[in-house]
Amino acid sequence: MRIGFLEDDLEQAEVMKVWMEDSGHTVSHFASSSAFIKTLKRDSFDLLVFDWLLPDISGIEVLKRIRASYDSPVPVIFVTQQDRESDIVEALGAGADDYMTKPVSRAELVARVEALGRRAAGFTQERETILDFEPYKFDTKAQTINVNGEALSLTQKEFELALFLFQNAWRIVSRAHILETVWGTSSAIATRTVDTHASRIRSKLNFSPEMGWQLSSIYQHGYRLEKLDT
Amino acid sequence: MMALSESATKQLEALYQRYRDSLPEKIALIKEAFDNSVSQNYSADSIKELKFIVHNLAGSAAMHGFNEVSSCAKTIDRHIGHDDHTDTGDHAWQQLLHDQFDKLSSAIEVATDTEDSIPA
Repeated sequence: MRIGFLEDDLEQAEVMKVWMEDSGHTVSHFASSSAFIKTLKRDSFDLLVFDWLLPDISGIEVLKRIRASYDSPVPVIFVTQQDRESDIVEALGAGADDYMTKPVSRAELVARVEALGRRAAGFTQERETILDFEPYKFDTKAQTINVNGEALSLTQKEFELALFLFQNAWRIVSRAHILETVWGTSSAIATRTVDTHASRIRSKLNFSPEMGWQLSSIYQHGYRLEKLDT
Repeated sequence: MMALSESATKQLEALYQRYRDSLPEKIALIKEAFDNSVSQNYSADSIKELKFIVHNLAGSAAMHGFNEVSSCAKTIDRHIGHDDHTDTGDHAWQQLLHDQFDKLSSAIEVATDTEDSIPA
């Protein structure tokens, strides 16, 4: 997963970053809320890990801003020393998906992060081979997409990109996020590759009001796939 | 739970050693913040600064396996808490803060003299 990690204490951040990266995740660390908020305007993550007490803007305030400003369901887990019941209730009430009080162990942090990631990705869907995003039916085993019984002709990368966009529908996903997830890299391939593939998908899947889906290019950020009201 | 890779183990060993070496520096920083607070008659700003330092110490010490240091720092963090005892001349509160600070100093001294292992 691509994890955004907000923690001002570098000594704690370095240890937790090693733990999460060693479990196969890509972690972007931010020591201040303002730096994180600035990045969030042009980038996206699969999951966010927040500390509460920060020098500029508190983690709970950042969470409230995210939930108010973005209609994205990106999961957020708090890892903090704030251990009062009222703190936990406030964080969960503001939209946090999980809450851990420090000190945390590697095993528990990684387990909770991965459990939350599975839930967010739709664990039940992952185990099914047929995913239905009406009118598109994805067969993840055969790597095919059917529309009204007809198979579309897609390359493997086009299929993977389409699946990623549908699994992240309504969220703005950055080009860097797409590159890392679909191509498994962030540097060797130009972001133009993403644009080319997105254009082909838009055409091949015929995103239109008739089909009920719209793929928007978000300036200096990435893409958002949305289901249109019918 | 998978075991740590060799590379991650090496990174954590280096971080642990660096943290351990930094403990005397940390107690000097806390002492400075504490003395500053006393000299300012426990003003709200000075106590806030002290709280911020011990709050981070409580988290980072535990993460590096120094549990006693973390526990003492957390006690101070909680003692300062959210209630406003600053500028009130609450002598009992101030005395307890002094006692807790002494315990933290001792815990850090012990930690720097003890061979601990990296936490799992």
